[in-house]
Amino acid sequence: MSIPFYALDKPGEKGVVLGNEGIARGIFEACVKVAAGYPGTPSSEIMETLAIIHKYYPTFDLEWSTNEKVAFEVALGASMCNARAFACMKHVGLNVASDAFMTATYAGAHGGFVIISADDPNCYSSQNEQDNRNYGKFSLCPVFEPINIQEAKDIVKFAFDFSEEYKSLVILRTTTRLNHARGDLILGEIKKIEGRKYDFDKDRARWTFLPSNARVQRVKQLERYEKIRLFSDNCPYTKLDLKDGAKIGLISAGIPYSYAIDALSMLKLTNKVSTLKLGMVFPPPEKLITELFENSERVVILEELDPFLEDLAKKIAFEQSVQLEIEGKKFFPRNGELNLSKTMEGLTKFLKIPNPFVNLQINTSELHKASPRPPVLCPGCSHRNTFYALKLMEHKLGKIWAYIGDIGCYTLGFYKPIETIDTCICMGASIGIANGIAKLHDGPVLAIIGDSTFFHAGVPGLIDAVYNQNNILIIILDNSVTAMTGFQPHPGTGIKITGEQGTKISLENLILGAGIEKDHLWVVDSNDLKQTTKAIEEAVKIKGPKALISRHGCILYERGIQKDLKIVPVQIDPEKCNNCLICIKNFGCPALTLKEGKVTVIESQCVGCNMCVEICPFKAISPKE
Amino acid sequence: MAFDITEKGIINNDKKFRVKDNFNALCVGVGGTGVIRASMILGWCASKEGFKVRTAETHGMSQRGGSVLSYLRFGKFLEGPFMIEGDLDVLLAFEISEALRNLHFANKDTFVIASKNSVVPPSVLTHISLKIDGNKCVGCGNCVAHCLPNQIYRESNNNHFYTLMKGPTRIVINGSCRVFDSCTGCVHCIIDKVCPFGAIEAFNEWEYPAVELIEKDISSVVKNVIILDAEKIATDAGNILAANIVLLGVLIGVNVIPLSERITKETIKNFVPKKQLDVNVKAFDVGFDIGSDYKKK
Repeated sequence: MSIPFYALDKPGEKGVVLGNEGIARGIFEACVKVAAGYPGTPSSEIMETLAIIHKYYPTFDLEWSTNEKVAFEVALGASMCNARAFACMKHVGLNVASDAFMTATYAGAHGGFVIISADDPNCYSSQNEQDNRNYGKFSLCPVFEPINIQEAKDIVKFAFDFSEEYKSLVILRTTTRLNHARGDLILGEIKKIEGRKYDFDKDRARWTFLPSNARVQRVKQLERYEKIRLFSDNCPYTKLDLKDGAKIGLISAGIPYSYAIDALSMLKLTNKVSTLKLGMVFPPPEKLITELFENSERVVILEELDPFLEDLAKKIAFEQSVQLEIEGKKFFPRNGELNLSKTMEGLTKFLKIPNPFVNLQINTSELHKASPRPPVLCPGCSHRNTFYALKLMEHKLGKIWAYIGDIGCYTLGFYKPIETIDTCICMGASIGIANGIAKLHDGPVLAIIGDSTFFHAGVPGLIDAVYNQNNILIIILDNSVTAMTGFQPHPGTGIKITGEQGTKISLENLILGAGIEKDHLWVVDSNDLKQTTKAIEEAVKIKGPKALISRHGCILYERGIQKDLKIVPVQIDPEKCNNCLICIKNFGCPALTLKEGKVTVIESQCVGCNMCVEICPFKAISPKE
Repeated sequence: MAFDITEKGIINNDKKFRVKDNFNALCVGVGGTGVIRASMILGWCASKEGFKVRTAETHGMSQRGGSVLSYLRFGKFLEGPFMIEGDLDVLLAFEISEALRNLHFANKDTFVIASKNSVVPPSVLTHISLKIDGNKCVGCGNCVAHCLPNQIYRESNNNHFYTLMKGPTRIVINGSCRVFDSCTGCVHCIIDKVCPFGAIEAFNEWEYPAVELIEKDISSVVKNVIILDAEKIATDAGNILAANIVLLGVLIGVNVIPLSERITKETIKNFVPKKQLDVNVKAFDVGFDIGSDYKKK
């Protein structure tokens, strides 16, 4: 593979990159020393890109950490050694790291410390769409938000310098429409930091948060915040553009700012509306905002999700005794993501002008509708097989089984025809919630969790089950990879982010070490229906905490890495098949379809797991010979 | 070249298209059809031609059989990755029902280039069910007795241990037949005409329209559309996976966006496996000829 564009040592070279590649390039150009993260859409490619860059320039250390809290702490440790550190996570990942983060912001940064929070408006691949700009206000940590990929790269570099100058942690906040966008990038110079000593800084009172120290650091945090608050007006990525005679002002930041520019250009109002673009969204630039207020009669705030900037702006207006109309959420929705159409709608309403760009599109109401295409588990997915075994046993043994789920590919088991996931709240919640439900529910309570999720957040729940003797069955779906986010390795696979061998952690040993009794732990092959159903039946009849590891490699991952993997698809005997459709309706493998009313195997999709062979009541399916 | 790039924007020379500052395209399809790769190639081309480029996509669901969509904008003056709904120059579809799904982004002048490739979502098959006409049904129970899946359910614990049947498929209650969720949608009761009163009707809330109907729908709302068997052309060229490159060829051939053949072919070479170079060039060329032969309305 030739060196990718984003790894070239060619300042000034132009190309097109993914947003995350641009951010990774910025982190590299800033001379980061330690990077740590946990996979989470839309942030994952940042670490993966750094791993590729690392192949060509092994001048820094990087790791997939067990979870975002550990990742943050690893980076914090590096910062304590005066090294530039980077922590990578999605928005909910910062929740996991927040215990460490909220106190670390008192101590501030020694080596430059940048955290990325990759938010997900519209929950494209998340449990919620929380607006992490709020973490800035909560922790008094400055938040930068770039408007495009070039700015993202440049601002990351700036953020590291800023972090060291002001001794402050910095949040770089992005959204899916930046992380998973592609755009132009001009490469910059790769910075070199020489002569720095990286020993642990023994400023013990700074790092040890006993109450007496905490109060001292708190004062330092407030002093730091005050300096940054005054700096905000001078942030090079914040720009006030007052237009002569303009009565309308617009405040925006991040990707929504790009919508504002496009909308104003299309309305031919670029010279009639003053704009304030915030590169630092927290703390806000109070002087510039006040200046915009003083030069406008009405101001609109264009942002998606929370009225974060709106509330800050209204507070400033009140403090400066400025009287004018300031609106935001009145015209733009609070949920979901913004786009150009919604921007145009809200903006024209605010401006009290007709929207000339409405009803341009084709009226599709008379046309046929394309059928929904929700994501499904892949053909041959071992999770489908485990779910099937569970349902067989539920049907056989009776009672209502509670399937307390977690985050991963298996969450798709919520949908038809599997319908064997009843809850999914956050990482590791399966075991925690199961512990609670088991105190009350009359029927088997199963916590369904994946291997990577288990390492991330399942262990405390497991220990709780053992210690408090909660009557739950923990089903660990072990497909030996972090699949949903793009097949990253984890402690259970033993491979490090660089591809090197690390130390593999045995799930069995961990579970037994936590106190699960030896004969309350089953290990089965997910694709062995007989073995799996037998183990499930035994397990649910026993009281107390129990674990069942249902193990089989992710077939999509294995097909990807083993190009010559031998696959024997199945075939259907037309003499025996009655087209009862039980295999399609009740098992739901996507490799089985209907052609002219007859059940047919899509050979390119079939991976030869042979589950359907067992399922067919007429024994009409067999491996092709 | 039909376009001139000036400080005022991009001006077309044959005066059939609006003066524009930028071009908007949408690449749609399903996982495995090369949507994102095609969008990436076009993005690089636009950058090489000197335009600003912005794309937006969502990752991850494609490999689990989901829809894939990539917005692509390029031009001299643009900031964001989205276009206003309806302001679309090109809709490039690598699966036919995805073209239908995304027509609401298009206007009647949008150029639609689509592959005949039809991938029925597996979920469609799991949503087939039945409707019983209460006015016609007398509760005779004939369909209950004839239902094969129902028979399998009754035998399931004894004979078919690994065959999951969650309950009866139908029963007669209060003189009328009621169908349950465990009905598999095999529709033998309709095919074999087991109901003497014709009270049973198949019903799928997630119907995948017939390909001919989809093609008709698309042609009825846009003036310029090319629907072709890109998969067959790619297979004849040497690899079915080059179907997306066929469509890129058509796009450059019809000459409705200012990207040149030379630069597109150069860029494609950087994005396909070295061993497949000839196959992809052939696929592009066949597509290009189809595009350039097309007479615009």
